[in-house]
Amino acid sequence: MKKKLLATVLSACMVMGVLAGCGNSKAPADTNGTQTADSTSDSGKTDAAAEDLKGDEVDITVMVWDRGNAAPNTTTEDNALTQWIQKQMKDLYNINVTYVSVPRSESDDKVNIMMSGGTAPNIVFTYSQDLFYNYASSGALKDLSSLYQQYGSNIEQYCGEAQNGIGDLGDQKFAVMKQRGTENARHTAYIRKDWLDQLGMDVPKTKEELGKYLYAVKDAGLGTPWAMSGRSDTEKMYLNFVGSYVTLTDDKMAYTYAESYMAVAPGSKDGLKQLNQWYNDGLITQDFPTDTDESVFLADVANGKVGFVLDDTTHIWDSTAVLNTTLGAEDASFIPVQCFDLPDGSYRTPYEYRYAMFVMIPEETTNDEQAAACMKYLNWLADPANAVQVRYTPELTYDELGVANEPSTADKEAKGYPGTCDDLCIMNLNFDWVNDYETMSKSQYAAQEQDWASVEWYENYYDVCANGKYRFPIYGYISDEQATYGTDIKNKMLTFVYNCICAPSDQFETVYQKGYDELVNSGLQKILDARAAYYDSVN
Amino acid sequence: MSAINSKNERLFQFFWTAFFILITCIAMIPILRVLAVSLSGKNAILAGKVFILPVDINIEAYTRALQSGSFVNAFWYSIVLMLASTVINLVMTVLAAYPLSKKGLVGGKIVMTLFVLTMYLHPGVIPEYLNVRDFKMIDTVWALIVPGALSAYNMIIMCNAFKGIDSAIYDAAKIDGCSEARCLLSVVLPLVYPTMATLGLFYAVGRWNGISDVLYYINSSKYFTVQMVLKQFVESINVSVEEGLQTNLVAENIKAASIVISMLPMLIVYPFVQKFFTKGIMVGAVKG
Repeated sequence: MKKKLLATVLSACMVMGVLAGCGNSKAPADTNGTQTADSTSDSGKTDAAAEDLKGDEVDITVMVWDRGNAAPNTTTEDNALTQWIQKQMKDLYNINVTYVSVPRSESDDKVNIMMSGGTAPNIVFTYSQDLFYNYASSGALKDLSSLYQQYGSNIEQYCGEAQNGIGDLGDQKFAVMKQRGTENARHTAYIRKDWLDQLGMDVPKTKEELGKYLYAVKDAGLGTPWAMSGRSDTEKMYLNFVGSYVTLTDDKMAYTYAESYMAVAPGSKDGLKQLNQWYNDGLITQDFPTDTDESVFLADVANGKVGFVLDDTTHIWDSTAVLNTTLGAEDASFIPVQCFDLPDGSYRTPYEYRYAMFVMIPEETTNDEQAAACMKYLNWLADPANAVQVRYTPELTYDELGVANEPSTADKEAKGYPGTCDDLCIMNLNFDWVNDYETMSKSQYAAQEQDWASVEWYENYYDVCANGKYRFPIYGYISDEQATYGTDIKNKMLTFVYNCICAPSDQFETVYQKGYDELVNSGLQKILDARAAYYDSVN
Repeated sequence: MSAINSKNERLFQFFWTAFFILITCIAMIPILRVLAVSLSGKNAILAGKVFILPVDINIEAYTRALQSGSFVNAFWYSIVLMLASTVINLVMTVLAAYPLSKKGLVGGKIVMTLFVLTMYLHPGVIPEYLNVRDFKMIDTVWALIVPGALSAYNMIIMCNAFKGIDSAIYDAAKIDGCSEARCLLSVVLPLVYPTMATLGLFYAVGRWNGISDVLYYINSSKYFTVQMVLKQFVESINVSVEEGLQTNLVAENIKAASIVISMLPMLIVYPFVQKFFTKGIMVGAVKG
């Protein structure tokens, strides 16, 4: 009898899921001047389907990041925005949502503790693939495959790019992925346009031309030709350059060496040798490994002492703004540049993946009704019409470009909205305008606090980044070898590269071989073999 | 001869005074730098122009922190929590240390050994969390008070302070008809007040700076202490930078302001307790 009842309910749910999938969601298309979004009408088109999804009352708990910036007399888990979402959930699906605050800076630790202690909220999330894989492989997460089929139509439709198997393990889906907004390159090189002009040189298009520029900067005594910092947790200072010496023959090779292992991929040694030569010729910051907090690096950029950098894509913008303000003109100094040509003359610019967070439902603390309610909640958040109201508050307005205006801190505090509304928008940031680079350029220009870059500068930035746009293959699986040796290898890899760059020229081979052997002895080859074997097993 | 001695002595005094003033100034540099960064403009910080004096004075970091509802609530909540916690800590410490300081207490050595073992054998975060959870203290203020109500280290210091009191004083109190409780309250505690003050400071500072138990045991942000709020506040500026949002602030600005704000109460309290500090520790150390 129970089985029959369950079958009937499931069948009904599947039909309703299909109906929900037919629900249209309204993106902010009517954007003539500023106008207030009507939350009721935005949700209106899904009302019919949503009405069908309204079942028995269900209580769920949802993790929310706390950043200590709640509005006065509110908390992160109880404010105007959470109350608005709670009302939508109650009205649409009869779901009572309670938020559980998790400190942003210690998020993974806290989630770990709660998962271990059986007190985790029904919806948790993390950026860490290791953490996700650990939970998924140990049975700590709900299998979302059937729930996704039933209730995940919006996620599939609007966040489909992000659901590229990364949240799956075998045939089972253990996480739905948040969809990122603007597509960005991971790292970008910048060069001093004013110095190029002074030296009578064109913007370099190849590494050879870059080398000529670096030597010219040194000879002219303009400053440090290539500035680096010595961060011990990121390979951003060299990865694109060294990677440009590597020819990725196929996807298997790309997956095997992606991307932390690029410095030991076939061909990369030539890149390290080139950096070593430039370092010994005085073209690279001499004591960069000691600048672990980047303070010297950023100050040098801001003070106009360097001619070329490779960094996280927007990281030097603030410092460039200071420099341009000092020089007294927009676009006065750094411009983005792609000059890391591959052996075949093309380019490869690694991009961020389209997924952001792993959004998961813990097995221990969630029953089937709650799991279904959680998926309805996530599916509702995936609809851009809802997501934009969460991200920019339900009282959002648009500018003349059709871009939602970022509410001011004072406005949010006055109305009781949290300081970072993004933290409640855990499924979708892929709004209409975010990948329209022309609009983004104008919007970013308009939002500038100091007039340091022109619209054309931003447009050029997006063009340069898109030159050779590339994403490495990725899977949700993490081998035992990677789980065991991965962190240690990543740390040692940075030391290995820094040692190779800073070694005296005549000792480069010795230092390289010694460092490489140490990496292999620490498990590097086991990891690479495991990655290659996994790729073969699924292709 | 005496004149020479006096001259040498003055020279000696001058040298060491100058030396220690110099050391003090050097020790002050990091604090002055933090203060300067917290009060400086974004561009000056980014250009590395700030050392120990503010450049392009900007108090936005402070106004942002102080205007935040979370911060103001958390500040007063942390003060109350610190005071309540310190009182409970001291009561627990005295009640544990007093009997254990008595010679001939049956089972005293075993109990003391158990206390000492807690200093060396730490169960780990997860078992502690499960323990607190099973006592139904998760997301309650008790989770921030009960698990750390007694520090074995401080209890041993207090125990040694009690042992340092001449036994004749106990005998005199007993002859005058004092019960143990009366003896403790009226005779012993007044004699160990420097130790009490010192340990109270230890406990207060520990509670004020404590963040890990708040992180693990508290889910409602209304129970977040000021340290936790400030830590998250620094995060909020980082996300603005990641998202490309333009602000007048940089993370260093907010971090520095947070450090200044969080150390202020301790900076105010310390001078009043400092005079007990050396004496309190030494009393406990004599018979260690």
